[in-house]
Amino acid sequence: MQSRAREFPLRARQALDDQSLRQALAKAQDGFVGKRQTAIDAFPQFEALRDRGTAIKDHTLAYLDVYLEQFERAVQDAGGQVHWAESAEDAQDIVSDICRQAGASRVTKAKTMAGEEVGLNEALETAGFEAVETDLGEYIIQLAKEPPSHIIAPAVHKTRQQISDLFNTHHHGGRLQSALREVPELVDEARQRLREKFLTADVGITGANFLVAESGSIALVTNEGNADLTHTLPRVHIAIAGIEKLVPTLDDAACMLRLLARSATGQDTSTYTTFVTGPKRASDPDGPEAFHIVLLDNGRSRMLGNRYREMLRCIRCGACMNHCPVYGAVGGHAYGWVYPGPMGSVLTPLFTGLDGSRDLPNACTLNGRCQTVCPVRIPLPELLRDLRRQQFERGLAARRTRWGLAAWGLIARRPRLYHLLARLGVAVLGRLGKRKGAFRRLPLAAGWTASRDMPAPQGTTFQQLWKQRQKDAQS
Amino acid sequence: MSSARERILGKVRRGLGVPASRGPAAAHAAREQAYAAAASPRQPWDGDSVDRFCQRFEAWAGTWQRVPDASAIPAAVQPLLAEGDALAVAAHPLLQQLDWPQDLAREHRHPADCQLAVSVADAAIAETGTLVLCSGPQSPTTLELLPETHVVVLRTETILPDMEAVWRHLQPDPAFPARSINAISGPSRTADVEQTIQLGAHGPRRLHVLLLAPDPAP
Repeated sequence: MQSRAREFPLRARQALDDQSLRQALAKAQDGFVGKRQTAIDAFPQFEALRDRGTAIKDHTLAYLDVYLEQFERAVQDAGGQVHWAESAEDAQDIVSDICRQAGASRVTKAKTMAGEEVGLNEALETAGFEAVETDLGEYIIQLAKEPPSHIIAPAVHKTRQQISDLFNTHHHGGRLQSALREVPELVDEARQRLREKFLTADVGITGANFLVAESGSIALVTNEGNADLTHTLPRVHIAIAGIEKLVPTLDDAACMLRLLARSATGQDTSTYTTFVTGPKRASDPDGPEAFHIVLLDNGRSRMLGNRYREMLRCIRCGACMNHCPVYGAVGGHAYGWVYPGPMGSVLTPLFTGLDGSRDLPNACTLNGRCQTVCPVRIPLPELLRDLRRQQFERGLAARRTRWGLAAWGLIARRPRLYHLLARLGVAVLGRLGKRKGAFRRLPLAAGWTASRDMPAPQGTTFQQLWKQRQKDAQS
Repeated sequence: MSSARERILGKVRRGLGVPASRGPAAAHAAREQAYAAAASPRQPWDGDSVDRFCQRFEAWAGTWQRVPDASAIPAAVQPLLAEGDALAVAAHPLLQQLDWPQDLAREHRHPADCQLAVSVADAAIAETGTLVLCSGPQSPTTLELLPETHVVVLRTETILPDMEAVWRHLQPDPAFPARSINAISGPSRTADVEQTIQLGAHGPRRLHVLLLAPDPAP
């Protein structure tokens, strides 16, 4: 998918003005945060579980070459085929070729973020296939012709009114009288529409939440059961997954699933957790005749050799964005690519280039909540800071930012000068602002004072106060 | 010829700074040392596995009842069938010789045209209230997904503490792992419209367990 991260400031501004978006986001964030907390309060050893999940992913990444080969052998032993995609284009070509060779016309899809990353739907449609999303949220945004705005709740930004309108337009030609419909009615209508697609699809495409090296299995989690219908009914099953999705054993997958469900939705397990290994066996009454897995690199192997390797632990639970004040204010679309929120602000610059996404690492208050909730302890704020540093070093930061930082750096490295200027500044501002107690406007800080007043300093600097306190304590 | 496979594995090894052809032995030893010597933390609970399973399964909006023996299964299924409903029964030895209310051999419809299906679980997980069904001739996956009501016979001795125990239980089977191992916790659901949980998204609207105690020792 083409990145529109460059437009972040504009799109964030539009999002802030969108009342129904803000309503939807506020409701969703409250729900996700509360449910996760309840689930974790009920699990006394959650911190130990996070440690184990982190250790599993760190170990797997350190031996990724070994586990990739083991996984490949196991898939082949089970009768499946393994394909390697270096880039998004490779993945598109591999999937389109399999569909063509299968003589397919209709393709059902269960939500896959790797599929979104490589722009699979556009590629399939260009190649002449009908691609139908089957996760309800993903189906809704497909009707709206929008990308997902959240990695586990892709239509989280849509209100019931908007969904009612979309269904009216696409299912009833706009003829329905009652505008707002109830949730059961909407879900039922989608169920009926999609049931027919499931039963007539030639190829089913899923992602994979985990790849299990020892057995060649892929783990799939859903609450709807749509992934299972997608891999069981059509003649051909294609799964697409990043190479970082591996875990060594089925036991390791069990541990990771405990972390994933709680962090994502506050459930202790998803309703459907499925391990798929190869195609239909000779005696099986159902299942696809062929099983393909596409292993996607697309920039991941590059991250193994630097500190961004930690980002490859990500299990795509969405907890970081659920706890992010910036995501909560602007929603997922403002970020401009498939991965929004804190994890997206790290991944988008790494996958699509620092230059086209220079605002993302800066769209962060460094409050650290994302790191606190990350099930695999990814130091997201540190990685975002590191991206900012790279921007600065490469001259990608805005000129004013660079000059400002350079000037500050010059002064901050000279403590005497720093203290002198701080005293001077505080004294002057303290006197000027004495009467009103705050400034409505300040030179060079228009951005800061545009939405709030700057309190006037009280006349002494922190260093002066500190010295005074120490003196008082001694006497 | 350098294929995409070789190029990706090459980039991975360069990133990690390791030579080609590292064997699995080193990885397995490192895994033991890193974390695998101990077990994963899991949800603690009081009481026995069967009670725990039933309590969690109910929390997922699943329903259950006890049946005294296999011959009581058809009578337990009967009230769940509405007028005109078609029944699909998995080709499992436990279910095949029973006296069903419909002539299944004669009817034999596609699962998509049946309103109720009956299967036998291969295991269950007490920790999460989860049924485990392995695809195969005795347990078609389509029966778990297409009919509106799914009835699952669960032998209480196959209720195990956690997923790891289920792997130990299934692994001796030479067909392990089945094409699709389905761990199911309650009826299909979605929260994609305004975070409101709605049952019956794509799969069954109703999931009912018949708990079958082990045969008394002769």
